[in-house]
Amino acid sequence: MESSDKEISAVAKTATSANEGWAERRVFEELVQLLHETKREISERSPGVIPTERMGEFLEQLSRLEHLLEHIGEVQQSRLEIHLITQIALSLASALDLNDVLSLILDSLKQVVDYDAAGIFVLSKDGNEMEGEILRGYRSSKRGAVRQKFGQGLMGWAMENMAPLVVSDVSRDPRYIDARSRTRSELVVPMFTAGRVIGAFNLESDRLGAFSERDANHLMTFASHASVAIERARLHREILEKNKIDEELSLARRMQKDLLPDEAPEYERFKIAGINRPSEMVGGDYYDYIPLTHKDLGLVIGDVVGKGIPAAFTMASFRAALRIEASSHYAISTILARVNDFLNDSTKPEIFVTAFYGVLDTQTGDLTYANGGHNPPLLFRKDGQVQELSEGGMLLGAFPAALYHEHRVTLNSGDVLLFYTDGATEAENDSEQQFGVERLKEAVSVLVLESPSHIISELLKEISGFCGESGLQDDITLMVVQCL
Amino acid sequence: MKLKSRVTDGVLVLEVKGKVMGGPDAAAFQDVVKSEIGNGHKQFVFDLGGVDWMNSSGLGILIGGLTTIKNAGGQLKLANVTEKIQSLFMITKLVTIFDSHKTVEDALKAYQ
Repeated sequence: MESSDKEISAVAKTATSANEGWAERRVFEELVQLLHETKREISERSPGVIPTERMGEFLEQLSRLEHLLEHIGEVQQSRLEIHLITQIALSLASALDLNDVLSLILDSLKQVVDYDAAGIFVLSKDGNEMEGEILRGYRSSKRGAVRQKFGQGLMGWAMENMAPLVVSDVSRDPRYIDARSRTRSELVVPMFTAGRVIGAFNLESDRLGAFSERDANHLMTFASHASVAIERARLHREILEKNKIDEELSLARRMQKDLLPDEAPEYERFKIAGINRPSEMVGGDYYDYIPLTHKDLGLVIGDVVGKGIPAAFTMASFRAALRIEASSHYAISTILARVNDFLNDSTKPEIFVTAFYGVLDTQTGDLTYANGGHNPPLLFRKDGQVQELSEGGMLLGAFPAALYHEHRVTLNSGDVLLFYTDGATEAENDSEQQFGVERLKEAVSVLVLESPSHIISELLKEISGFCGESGLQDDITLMVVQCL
Repeated sequence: MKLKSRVTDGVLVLEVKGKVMGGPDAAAFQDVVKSEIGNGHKQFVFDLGGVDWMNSSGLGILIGGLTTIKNAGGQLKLANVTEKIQSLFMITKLVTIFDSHKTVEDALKAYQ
C-alpha cells in the first residue's frame, strides 16, 4: 500500500499540460487497477490473515478509498478535458488558413479522444460539394472510399440528424462504409453553425467499443469550437480574396486612368479642360485630346455601356480604334463608320459606345464633327444662344455598316463648348428628379466668362449640391473648350 | 425587371416591367427571346409601358433582343415606349432602328 500512497499524491497533482495530464491519467488508471486487485486478494485470502470481526470494517475502508479515487478520477478527467479543449480552442483561434485549421483540429482531437484513423470533412458554403478534408490513418489508395463516407453511411446519418453517432461494432451496422480493414468501431460527429451542417468528424478505432457516449459529448463540444474556427478561416479567406479583387480593380483603375489625358493642350485662341469622375473604381466614360497637326486637335467624349472591368476593356478597344483611325486623316464620318464596324465585329451587339468625335481647327475655330449617339455637346454662344451638336449617326458597335454624317460649326471668341456624359444629366436627387439638360444649360450660362477648369469645378459642385454625394450613381465626365 | 409573354394574333407580345438595367437582366431577357424563337415565333412586340427605369445597359438589352430576332429572320416592334426611353432613343439615334408604336394594338395592327 505504500507505493499506492505515492501514486495517489501523483494523481492529485494538477495537470498543467496535455501530456502531463495524460501521464497522470495512466498513473491513475494503474492505481485503480491496483486497488481492485488488493480488494480481491483481501476478500479471497483474508480468512486467517485478518480477524473476521475486523473484516467488514476493513472492506468498508477500501470501498471508501475506491469512491475517493473514482471522484478524483472524474475531477481529473474533466479538468484534463476542459484544459485540452480550451488549449485547442486557443490555438484554433490563431489559425486562419482552412487547411491549417483542419489539421490542427484533427491533431488536437487525438488528445481528447484517441483514434486510429480520422477524417474531418467540410462542406462548401452552398452545401453542394466538399470544400476541405484532412485525413489521418487511411491508406492513400482508400481515399475514394473515405470520401464516399462523407454524406453517406454513418456520416450521412449524423449530418442529416445533426447528432453524434457511436458505433461499437461496425460489422453489425449496415450503414458502415468500409475504408479501412482494421476498423472495428466508429464515432461520427457533425459540425454545424446557425442550424446548418457544415461538415463532420469521423473517428475510427481498431478496438471494438472504443468510443463512449462521453467521447461523443466531448467531441460535440469540440466540434462547436471547430465550427467557429472553420467559419473564421472562411471569412478570412473571403477577405483575402476581396482584397485581391480590390487590388486588381485599383490596378485596372490606374491603367484606365493612364488612358485618359493628363492635361489639356494649350492654344493661343482656346482654353481647354476636362475631368473624369468614375462612380465605381473602374468606369465606362472616356474623353481624350488627340493632337493631329500643329493646329488641328481631335476632341472625343464617349460612354461605354456598363461599368467595371468589362466597360474598361471596351473603352480601351474603342480608344485604340479611334486613335488609329483618327491618325489616318480619313473624313470624320468615315472614321466613325470604321470604328463602329470594328466594335461591332469585336463585341456583342448589346455592348456599345456612345461617342462624339470632332476635329477643332484651333486657328479658324472650325469644329468638324460627327455624333455617334452621344449626349449632344452644348455650344454656348456669346449672345446666350445654346446649340446642341447632335448630327452624326447611330451609337457605335451595336449594328454593322452604320452611316455617319459630319457637320461643321465655327467657334467664335466668347463661345464655350461643353461636352458631358449622361452621369451629369441623369444625376438624381431624393425625389428621383434628374439634374437634366436644362439645369446643365442654366448652370453653364452663368459661368461662360470663367475659365474652363473653373466652369468644371463649379458644375460638379452644382450637380453634387442638387443630388447629394449619394445621388452620383454614374460616372461623370466633363470637357470644356473655350474660345478666347 | 419582370417579363411576361403572351401570344396575340400569332404575335409574341413580351411585357417588360420594372427597372431594366443590364447585369442578370440581360441574360434573362435573351433566354426568353431565344426560347420564344425556338418555339417558332417570328413576330415580336416588346411592350415597354411598365418600364420604370432604363439605363444604357437596358438599351443594350433591347438591342440584343432586336439582333437576335433579326438574325432568326424575325421582326420586332416596340409599344408604349415611355418618354424617358424615347429620349434615350433620340440621343443614341436608335429611333431610326426601332419600329415604335403608341400601343400594343397599334403594333399588332402594323403586322397585319
